[in-house]
Amino acid sequence: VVSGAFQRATLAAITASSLLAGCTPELDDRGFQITGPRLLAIAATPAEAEPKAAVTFRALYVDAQGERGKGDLAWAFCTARKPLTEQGTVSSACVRESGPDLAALGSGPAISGALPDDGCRLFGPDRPAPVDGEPVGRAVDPDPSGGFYQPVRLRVSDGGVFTAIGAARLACGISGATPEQSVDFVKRYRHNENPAIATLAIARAGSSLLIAPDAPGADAGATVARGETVMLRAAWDACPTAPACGDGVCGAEEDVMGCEADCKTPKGCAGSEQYVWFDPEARVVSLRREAIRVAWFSTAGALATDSSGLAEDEAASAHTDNAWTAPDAAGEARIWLVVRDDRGGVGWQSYRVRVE
Amino acid sequence: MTVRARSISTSMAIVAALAMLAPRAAVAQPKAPPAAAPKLTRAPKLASFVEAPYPAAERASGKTATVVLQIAILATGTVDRATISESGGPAFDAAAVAAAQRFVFEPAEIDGKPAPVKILYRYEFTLKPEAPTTGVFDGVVRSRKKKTPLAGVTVQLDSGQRATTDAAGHFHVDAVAPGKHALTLEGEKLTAQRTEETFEAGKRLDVTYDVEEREEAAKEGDGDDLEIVITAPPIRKQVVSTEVSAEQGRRVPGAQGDVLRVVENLPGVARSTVGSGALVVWGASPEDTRVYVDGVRVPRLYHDGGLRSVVHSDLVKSVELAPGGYGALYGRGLGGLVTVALDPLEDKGFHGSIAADVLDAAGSVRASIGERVHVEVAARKSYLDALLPVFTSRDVSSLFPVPRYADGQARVVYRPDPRTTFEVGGLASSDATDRSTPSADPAARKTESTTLRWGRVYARVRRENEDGSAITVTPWFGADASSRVSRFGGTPAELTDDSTLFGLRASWRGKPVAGVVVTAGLDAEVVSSSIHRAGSVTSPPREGDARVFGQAPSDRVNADTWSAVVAGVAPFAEADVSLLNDRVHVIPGLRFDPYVISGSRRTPVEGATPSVGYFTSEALFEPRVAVTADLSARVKVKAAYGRYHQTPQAEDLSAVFGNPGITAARADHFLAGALFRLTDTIGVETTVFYTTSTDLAARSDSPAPLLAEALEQTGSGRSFGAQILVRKEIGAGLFGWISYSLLRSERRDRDDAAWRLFDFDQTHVLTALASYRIGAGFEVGARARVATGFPRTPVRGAYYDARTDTFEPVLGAPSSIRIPAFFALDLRVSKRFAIGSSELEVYLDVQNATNRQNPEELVYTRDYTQQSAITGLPILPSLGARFAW
Repeated sequence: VVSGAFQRATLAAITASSLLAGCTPELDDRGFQITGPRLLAIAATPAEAEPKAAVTFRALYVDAQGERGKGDLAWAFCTARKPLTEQGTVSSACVRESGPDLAALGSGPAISGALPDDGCRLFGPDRPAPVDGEPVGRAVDPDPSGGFYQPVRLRVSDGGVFTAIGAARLACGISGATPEQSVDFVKRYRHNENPAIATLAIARAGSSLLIAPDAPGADAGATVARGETVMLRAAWDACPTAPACGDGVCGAEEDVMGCEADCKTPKGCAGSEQYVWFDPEARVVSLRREAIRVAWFSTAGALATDSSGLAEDEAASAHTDNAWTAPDAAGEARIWLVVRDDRGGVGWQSYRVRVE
Repeated sequence: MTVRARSISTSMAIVAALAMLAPRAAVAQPKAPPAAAPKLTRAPKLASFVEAPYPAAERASGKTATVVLQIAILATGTVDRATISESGGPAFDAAAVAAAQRFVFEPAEIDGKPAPVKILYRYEFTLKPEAPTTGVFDGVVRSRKKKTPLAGVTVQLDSGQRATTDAAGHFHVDAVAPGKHALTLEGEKLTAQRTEETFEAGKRLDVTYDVEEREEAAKEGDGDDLEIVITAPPIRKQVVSTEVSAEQGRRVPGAQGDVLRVVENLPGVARSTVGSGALVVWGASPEDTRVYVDGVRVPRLYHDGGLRSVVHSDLVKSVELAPGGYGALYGRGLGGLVTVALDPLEDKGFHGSIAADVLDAAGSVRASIGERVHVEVAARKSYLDALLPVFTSRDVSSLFPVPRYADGQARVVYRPDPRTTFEVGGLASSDATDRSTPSADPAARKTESTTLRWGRVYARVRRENEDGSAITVTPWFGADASSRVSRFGGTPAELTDDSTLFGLRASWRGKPVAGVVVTAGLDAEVVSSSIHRAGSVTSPPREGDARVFGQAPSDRVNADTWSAVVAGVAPFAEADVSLLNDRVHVIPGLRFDPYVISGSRRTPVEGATPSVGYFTSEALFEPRVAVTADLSARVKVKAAYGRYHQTPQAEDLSAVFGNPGITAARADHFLAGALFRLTDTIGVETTVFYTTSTDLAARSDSPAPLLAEALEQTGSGRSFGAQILVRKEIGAGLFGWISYSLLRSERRDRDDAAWRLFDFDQTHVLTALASYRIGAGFEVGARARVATGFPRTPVRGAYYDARTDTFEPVLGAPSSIRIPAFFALDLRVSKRFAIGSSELEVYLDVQNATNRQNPEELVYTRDYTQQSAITGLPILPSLGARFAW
């Protein structure tokens, strides 16, 4: 039987195809250009934590001159669960100015607070508390990495008002698995570590020049000619793919009994980590690797692509490339790189390049 | 049938004749030296041909004749004389000579100078039928009781044509204009009786009217005097429906010769987004409209993209669309009804066709084996995917999925006697698309593959009994396999559905009592589905979801595998009660539609807990009633009401993505209208309608939905409006229609919600088309369409999701804006070449001839700060050819 969903899906696909076969308008949609105040990222530290745990949220709020110190950045935990009638990533109640589902955290470029204690019930695999006379409710579905997230609302008032949603990954376990699978998962799962940009290099024919990260009072990290197109290579830490005690990473197959050095205080890897997840289709606990994405921004010049990265099914490497064409005018250009992993981890780094 | 002379004048014949030439000028001269022998430097060329009429005296014979003429041509190019070299018979000889003497040639040249010559010219006479524009009406009037012929009965059509039965009770009327005609039978022993018949161009309608004589009736004293009993009473059309013959459908501009694509142009049908081919009828969802091919339900009418229908046009006799209010014979759908009637397959000999255009190639053959067996096979295969790389080096699959489709049909018809027909057949169809969007960003990479393969095999037995009743039994079996696998960045979406289907339609139709035609039968359908789905609950979107085009699917994913059996056995009965001397028909009907649903899983998988199945049953009654009344010979009014149910889609019965507890949804249709026959070939049909639907599945709006209740049966809908159809039947080479629909379709997902516009609501839909045969085998046609744009939900702002690095829209009131209106003009010109008894048709179909940039969808920048529109197809010419024999 050709189901309605199939018809709708096919209809959508064919519609898209037909439309694309027609004429797609040219819209100014280059996201890399930083010409004014802009929020580029929100990071939670630690990237993953249990409810009630203390978490620090930081915002990367910039303008053409660098990280912007102006503006009122107001933070609030959102405790509204997204209904199935809404397509967005969070409930529409989270982006309202105020409401009972918003618990204020404070203001500033960074804020700390304890995660709500009912996060795993509101946003995780724990089923909602039953209402009198009704059967149990439906648990929240995980993201493709098996994760659940506590949303945090950031409201930026800086001339106008801009709303963004950040998140902390909740360590809630899994649902729908057998007790044995749940035990296995808890035993082998390691909390996510925020990824980080390890290096940014300019690749020219036969040579590679590392760009020094931006630091207060320091000179620009590199110099390029006006109008020159250079290949930029962003690299992150290479994470171990096989358990090796002493490598500094407590992998899924390691534990404190077998490798106290790595696992006494479990530490992750700031790159493409391996992690265990519960496959809802195969219904098994298995090992997989994070995909890594890098979003590129610049205040001058042009980048070939807004973001690039490494998919999970691509050969393991620890870098991604992008071409940057320097502006025709001499001066200084700022470049930001925001790196994200599949499990909601975020990191960033900024650079300055002199154009002569 | 008309008579036409055919002549064949080939250069070969002339060249052969030149070997016999003895130019008169040369004959009159003394012998010249050998070196100076005259040389033919230019052969004569026929500049003006005069066609010889096929001799009237030979028409009855219809034979083919060949006359070989010797034509003496003067140096001026005129014919000096024509004589018979080989006779084809006196009448043919005379006609050929008379015509040849009026020929004009470009003169022959000998040694570079115009000179008189003689040539042999072969003139062939064949009797070729022209494309008929009228039908023939033949019949016999008999005494109902004695079964003896009745002489002196006058049969008169509403066109004024009449005939009187002879001693054998036989009557004959030629040149009946196609379409429905009212007719009366009058005679000394009869009270004038009325009935209706439908005629098709080029076809003979044979009927037998068994009528009660006044004496018989008086003797019986039943008071029901002189009732006409038509042997095998025709199936009454739905009260509100539009039927288009294959002949017309093939000629509709923009349809590229595909008969079934004409449905898009009928009143009550919304204009679908370019290339989608979705059938939105009277504001019902596409999946709510059922499609039957001779009683066998098929999953769709069109291949992906709406470029082609799934049944070869050569098999199609006609297609009928009933947008609502149809009778008790059909059910299980909340929306409209499309019924495709296959050609009865009565031709003798071997026939077929091959056709090709830029999209696909198709062929069909049909043959008779002896007097009783007929076979037909047809197939089609697309090659657009293979053709595109020839014209572009771009990987177009990265931009859009090029539809790949194929279909095939096969039928065998056996008629052991004139009243009995056995038929077995099969239908098969395949669709596939692939699309991939590469990107350096893993989250922006998209892939999508869809396949749909389905097949049906059926058997049909039809028996017309001596008493005029008919029994038809059609068991069928089918299999559907659909698959959609996509990935939007790291978010998967998969839906596969493998279903087996069994259906049975059995009906008896007859006149148990005078003035009442009863149709009763059984409509059974069992569907067993195994489904696997993975991905977001909200993807693909459902009707009514507040979203915008291009919005990324939610990254909350799940998976489920389940099976369900939905079975229904529906007895039905419908009576057509004729009142007031056949001027009024009251057609009550009842359909009892009990169904059961058996599912494999009531709740989502939980560890190793065994699944618990479920069983749902419900008994549904569906009353239907229709009334028609002839106010005059040219005015008819009508009204109808019907209740309809539709069992849930198996896909909605998932414990994860849907709700296993969903039961059938309900709809009620109310309609009324009038039909005005302005002339014998022009009619105007108007209809107003109101439909309601309840118990529709809608998403749970609860922040914490109950387990296994992602969908709730709380939705309802309503549609109301009016449609008008002005239709010119084929006559004098012209046909066409203007249809206009004014409607409003609304939905709400729960009772306390405000009504919103249905996703496919279109306030105005206007289609005007016409096709005209201008002679010499040329035909031109045009189609103009105007339609309101579909509703969309406005974007009021956006927020940035820093976790996924995406912007999400903040939406305004659902469906409160619209895509701008659509207009397109399509043109078609075709030329038919007669090649013996075969025909070659070459056509050029130009879609969007004005190259209007029609907005088809609203699109936004990534951060939703700018809005624009994707426009539809530019001017799109399509050249094709079809050869039929």
